[in-house]
Amino acid sequence: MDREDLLIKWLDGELNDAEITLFKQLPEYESYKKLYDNAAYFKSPIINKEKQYSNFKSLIEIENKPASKQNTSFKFLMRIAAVLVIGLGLYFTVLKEDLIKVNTLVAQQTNVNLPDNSEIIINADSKIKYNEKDWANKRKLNLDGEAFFKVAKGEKFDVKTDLGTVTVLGTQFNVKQRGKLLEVQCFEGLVSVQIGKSTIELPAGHTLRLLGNELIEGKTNLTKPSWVDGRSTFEIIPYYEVIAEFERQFDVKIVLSNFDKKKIFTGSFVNDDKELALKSITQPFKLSYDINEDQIRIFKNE
Amino acid sequence: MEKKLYDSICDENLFSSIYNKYIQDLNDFLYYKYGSLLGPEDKAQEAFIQLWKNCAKVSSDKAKSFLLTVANNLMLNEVKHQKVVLRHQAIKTNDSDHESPEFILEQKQYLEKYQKALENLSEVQRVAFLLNRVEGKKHSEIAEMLGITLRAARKRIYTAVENLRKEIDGI
Repeated sequence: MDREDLLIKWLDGELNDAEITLFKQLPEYESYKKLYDNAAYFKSPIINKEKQYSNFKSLIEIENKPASKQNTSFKFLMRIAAVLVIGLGLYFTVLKEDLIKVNTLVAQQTNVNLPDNSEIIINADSKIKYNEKDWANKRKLNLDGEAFFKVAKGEKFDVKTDLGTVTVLGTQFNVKQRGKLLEVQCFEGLVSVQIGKSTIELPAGHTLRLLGNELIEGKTNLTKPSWVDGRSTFEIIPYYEVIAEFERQFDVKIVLSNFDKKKIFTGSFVNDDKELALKSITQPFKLSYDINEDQIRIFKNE
Repeated sequence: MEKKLYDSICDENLFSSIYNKYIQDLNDFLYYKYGSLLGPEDKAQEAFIQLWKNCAKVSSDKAKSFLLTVANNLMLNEVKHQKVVLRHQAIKTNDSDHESPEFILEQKQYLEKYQKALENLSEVQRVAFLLNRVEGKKHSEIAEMLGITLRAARKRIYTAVENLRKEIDGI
């Protein structure tokens, strides 16, 4: 072992007894030792964490808490959603008994717990429908829109959409069916997708996209869909689908003029900041926009 | 373990635990890198404010690197041409009388040279060396904290020691 190795290991406290003896014989040892012992004089000040934290809290109150404002409005929305879900649940259990429908409005997300402890997060402007009483025998639901499923282990679990059926045993996956687009992302376990007469098996980390008659398989590194964290992501998707998602997330109407709506888009936008989101979908194509209340015009500058 | 669908640090309890966990590290990093004149404590505080504002977008496992990057950028905005000043703590005078005045004087001169040599190190070398020597962090922890490889961290620490020794001993 040479001097550099010895020194490094010594600094990291990794030398064994024999190596320490060797190290001490180095002519430079005294000077290293002195550096080592005296470094403590340059210690950074110790922070009084409690004092600093209360100071921090008063600072964020001055900053007017933009994040927590968003948080409370989110909580408020969740409260409305909860009341809605409970109300709907009551309505259907009392009056309709077993058929449960949950709808989300534009710019809204909601969480649903199924009888077997499976969880669904439903994205904006989507519908699910399932039979609660019969759930133990048949785990089957209808979906129109987009939802993230975390399925408890058990018998097979079917998600029916207009374009195909997605079947799983116990896993986590996202299904998006909008118009002619069907997108399935599998995050855990194995998902089988039935479209017409053909069946496709989708292992974890794989994605499947059906657009018109075109079927594309891809991969993902995510562990849950990005919209759950407040971001809509697209990969090789026609621009009109991006616009449609934007309208759903922000409850606005978009008019696209002077631009080919079938252009392919890859990218994402945040779901809580309209201006920023607009920039992320217009700048890649060098498009401009103007906002007039709930109407947004996107156009190409000549 | 159940995987959580939501992993948000907007929750105040979680945020305060993150605060307590990283505030000292963040402060050490800024202090050793940029010295005391530029207000490392204020910058650390400001980085946490940014983290709070962005709590919906930053997951807990990314919080540390978010803090380090933001604080570093805040510092860089202010650095311009200021020179790094590290203050060494006042040397404790030992009451026992076996230390001769010569020794005390020698020690004082040594620390002055040491301080100068530290100030002359590059920022990255100084941070790595002081985190190792003063905060007692393992080389692997330093590498993780600075987002570099173990090899690179060791190289920085080694070079720092050699540079310090050369400057202090005047070789």
